[in-house]
Amino acid sequence: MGKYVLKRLLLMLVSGFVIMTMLFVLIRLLPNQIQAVQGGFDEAVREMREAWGYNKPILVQYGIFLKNVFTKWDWGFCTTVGSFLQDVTAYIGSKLPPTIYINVVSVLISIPLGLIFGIIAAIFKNKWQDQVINVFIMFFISVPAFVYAFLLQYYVGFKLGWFPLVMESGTDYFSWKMFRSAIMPILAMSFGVIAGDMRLVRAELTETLTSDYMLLARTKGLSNRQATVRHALRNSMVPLLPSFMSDVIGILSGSMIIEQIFSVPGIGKTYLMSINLKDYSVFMCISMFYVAIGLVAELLFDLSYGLIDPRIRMGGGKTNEL
Amino acid sequence: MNTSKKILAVVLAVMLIMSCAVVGSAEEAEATYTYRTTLTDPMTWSPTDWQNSSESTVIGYTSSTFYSFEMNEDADGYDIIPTAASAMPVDVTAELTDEQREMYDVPADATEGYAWTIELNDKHCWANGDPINVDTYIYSLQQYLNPEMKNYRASSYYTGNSAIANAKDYYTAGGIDYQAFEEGTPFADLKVEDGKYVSADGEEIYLAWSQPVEWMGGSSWADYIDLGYGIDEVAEQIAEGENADGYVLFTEEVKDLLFGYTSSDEWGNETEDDLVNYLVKNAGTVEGKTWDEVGFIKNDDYSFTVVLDNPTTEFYVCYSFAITPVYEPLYEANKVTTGNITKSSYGTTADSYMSCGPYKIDTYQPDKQMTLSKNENWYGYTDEYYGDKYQTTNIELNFISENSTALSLFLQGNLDDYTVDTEHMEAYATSDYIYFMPQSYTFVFNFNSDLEALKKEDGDGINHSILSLDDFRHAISLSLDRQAFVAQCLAGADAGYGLINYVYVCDPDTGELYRDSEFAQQALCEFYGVESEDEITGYDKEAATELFEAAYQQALEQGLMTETDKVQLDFHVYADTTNYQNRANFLQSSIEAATVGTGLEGKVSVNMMVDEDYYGSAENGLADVIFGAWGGADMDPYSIMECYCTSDLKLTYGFNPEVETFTLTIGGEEKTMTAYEWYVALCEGEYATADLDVRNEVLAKMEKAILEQYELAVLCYDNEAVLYSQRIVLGSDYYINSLVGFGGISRMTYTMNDAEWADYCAQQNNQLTY
Repeated sequence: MGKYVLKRLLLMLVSGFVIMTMLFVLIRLLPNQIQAVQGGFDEAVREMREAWGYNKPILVQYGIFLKNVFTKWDWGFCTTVGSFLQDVTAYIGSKLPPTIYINVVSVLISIPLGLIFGIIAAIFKNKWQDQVINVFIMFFISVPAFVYAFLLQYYVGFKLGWFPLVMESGTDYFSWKMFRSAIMPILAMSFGVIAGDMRLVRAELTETLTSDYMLLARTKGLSNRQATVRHALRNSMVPLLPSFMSDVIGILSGSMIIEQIFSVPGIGKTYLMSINLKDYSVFMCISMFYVAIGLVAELLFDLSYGLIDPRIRMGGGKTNEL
Repeated sequence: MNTSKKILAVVLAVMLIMSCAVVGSAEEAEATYTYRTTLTDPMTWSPTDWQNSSESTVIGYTSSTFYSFEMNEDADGYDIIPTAASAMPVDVTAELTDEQREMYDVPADATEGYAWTIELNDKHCWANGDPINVDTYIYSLQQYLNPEMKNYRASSYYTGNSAIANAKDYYTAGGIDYQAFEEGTPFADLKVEDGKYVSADGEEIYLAWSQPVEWMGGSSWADYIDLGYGIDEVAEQIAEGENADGYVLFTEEVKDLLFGYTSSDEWGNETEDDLVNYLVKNAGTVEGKTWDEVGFIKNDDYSFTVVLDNPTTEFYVCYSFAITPVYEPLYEANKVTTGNITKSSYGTTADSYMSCGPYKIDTYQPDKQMTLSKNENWYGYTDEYYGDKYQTTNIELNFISENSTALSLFLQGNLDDYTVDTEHMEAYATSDYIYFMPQSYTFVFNFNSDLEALKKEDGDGINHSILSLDDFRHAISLSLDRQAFVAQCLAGADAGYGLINYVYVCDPDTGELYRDSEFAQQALCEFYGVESEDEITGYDKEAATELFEAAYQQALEQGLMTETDKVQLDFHVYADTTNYQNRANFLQSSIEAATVGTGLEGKVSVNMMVDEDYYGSAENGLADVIFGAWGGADMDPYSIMECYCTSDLKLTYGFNPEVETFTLTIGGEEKTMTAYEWYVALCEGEYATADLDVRNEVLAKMEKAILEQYELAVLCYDNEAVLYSQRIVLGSDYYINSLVGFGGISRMTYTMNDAEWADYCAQQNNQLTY
């Protein structure tokens, strides 16, 4: 197991490095000519780019970038996105909390609800409970999140006045005022995830519940609840884990449109702007943050397979033939 | 006893009255009036580096210029109020010594307009109480013009009306003096030394890479690559050698790479001698000037004299000459040096900025909000003039990019204004709370009229070349119903017919609008062929039909198209939005309606193409049509001509303003000059200081001459429609002019304070009706 973890860690670092190299090269290959403007500021921009090393060959730039990152943890500074010349890690650090806040709460709500309703739908397959849940699934999977974000904002926020239309300003994320202002973006982000998880859980569990070993479990004297939770659900979790993993990765990616609608000062919009406005440092820093989260999450979920299903042995030298 | 009771009663009564007064004044003191509005998140509000209007808005709230334009008491004009200055500027040109005239290049016989003395307001200070004096402005100006910082706003002090004598030489000191070769210099004159080309005099030679080249119509190689021209393979290799000035040292390797392309069919089989047109020589180092030679002279701690490059009037000194100071300790503390460039992140957070205006920044959360409150150290609050103004105690700038969110917040009472977009204009156009603010921008369809460029796009039965015919473009212009356009595509705007709209003031002293001048009206009437300006519509479908048919016949005769060809107009737009689609549809339907019964019936289609650099494409002849606008500097209608008379700025392609000429009759005398020369004559040359009538005559005739090229079809004049909340009372019910608008924030008052407003909105169930 230890060897396997070490191997996976090394592979993760190699994957991260390859992705970082590709991202670095690709963003700099995008056309980025400086248009002439009145007053000659284009010359100033050109000089700044020269001074910042942006005119050097890409490999030389990459060498400087790696040296700065690994020796000084210096990811550069904002040039066209955010506050001019601000340290990019500080800038992104200031943008992450709101995104994490609404997404963590969203996932904390979504996965359990998805599981619970998925189980209900599977247990009551083809009964009215299942039909109601299926309608919910159909609606929230078919309609894009921004549509019900607008509907929530208009009907729940504006017409009923239950919640603020936009997220509260400031950084007091543990206050009731902040939480109340985040409820609508959290709901808007949750509906799709809940529906997706419900559908998957229902499909997997339905299949498992009809397996022979479930019949055996019940004939052994286990109650339906015991058999479902101890055997069926646990076996269903193996294929479900990757989907939960993508939910978790999505925690930090945010949603540009949801953030825009509810005025959440998060990272979704920043990431797109960094590409459009060619802010290399912001782009690299956010990208590598996502890459790191994705790789670590993947490793953790891979390792957790063994815990869920003991038949899966990590790093074994032999195959696990049954 | 009775007396005691009476005394007691009087004392109690007095105490009661006093306590009421105290309570009342305490309530008054606690009452806040917060102006809550929306803004685009500013990237920096450093005075030396700001770029867009949201950034200047923050600077406007938090600093004071030498002179402010305030609405006058009659609410029909403006008063100029010295703010950071203590008195109006004094023209001291006549007092300049011979030595000073020589140093600052002021004509020996000039007696006015060049040198101005400004006395500073000694009560004007920073928000922390530190004084602002001449040394503050010297430090600030040195930062603006610091050659190592390359600040965005440096050009404000070495170009235009506020150019300070020798400022440009101070700013550019130490740089390479790149000079073009004389026309016709043969390539054989160049020599090779150590693999590098040098001139006959041994000067280094550079290829202008990101710099405009006259031979390329003012574009650069970098522009062409960006626009997709096919030299990508060699471009990367050449661009590797580009220096900070946008030039590449011309070596044998670079020559081979470039000539390999320019001599090919793809570029036009140019000769080796043609290469010289892309080259410049290093004529040495720009000698430059020291700070002592810059035209900014300290008289004493609170008085300075500024010497300008060009003569100007008192009005323009007040209007154009402004130095927003920077706070030295914070500016220096936030400096970072990278390579040869030093930049300061001053003004990017609440802590890295010091206010010296009516408001100071309390908090700033990127992408969310900035809050400001009254700067209690601002001199104005204890000043006789400003003492009773500025009821607004706090300002909340919300960075909300979603228009529907902003509208909902406004209707709930959480915002005090809302800029109405086209989608909601119909619902609010007649609201009692809507204010229309004319903007300086004139919207036009810009056309490509260059046959060669259009021919390149022809093929497979698709024709673009017909757009090169004047009659065809004239026909398009006549087919456009401007009134219908603004109703369908740009609600809130006014149908427009001239390049310069009704915002532009030609005489600041009287407030006379250029568009109201006799020459301006006459020019438009002549162009549209009507007797009076009221008759102008610009729309004549029958005439358009005749011209479309004439153009069609010409195109057939000249072999530009065949009878089976379809005409396609590539309409480049920034994004595929409803607004742009509406404009494309309008153009399509206008042409369709006017081509009925002609040879072009059913043959013309408008092809909308998303192109983020659509302005660049238009400038370089890669788009057939774009929707564009020019505006700004609305107290100077003459300088806007630069946008139509220089290749670098005009958004059309075909007519070359630096080469092609206009023959105009000014004051009965006929003169012929290139369009660019006319612009220079009007703004910097013989007409720059001419009488107002003469300048207006030149401007009006230039405007007509440009319209007669039919390279553009004027559509409308921009307006911004803003709804103000029910508690806001603007200084004026009517838009006065661009200098004071409706009176500005200093005159904005409130019928309810924040608490009362919140109660009122709650009573309305937070759903207000406008």
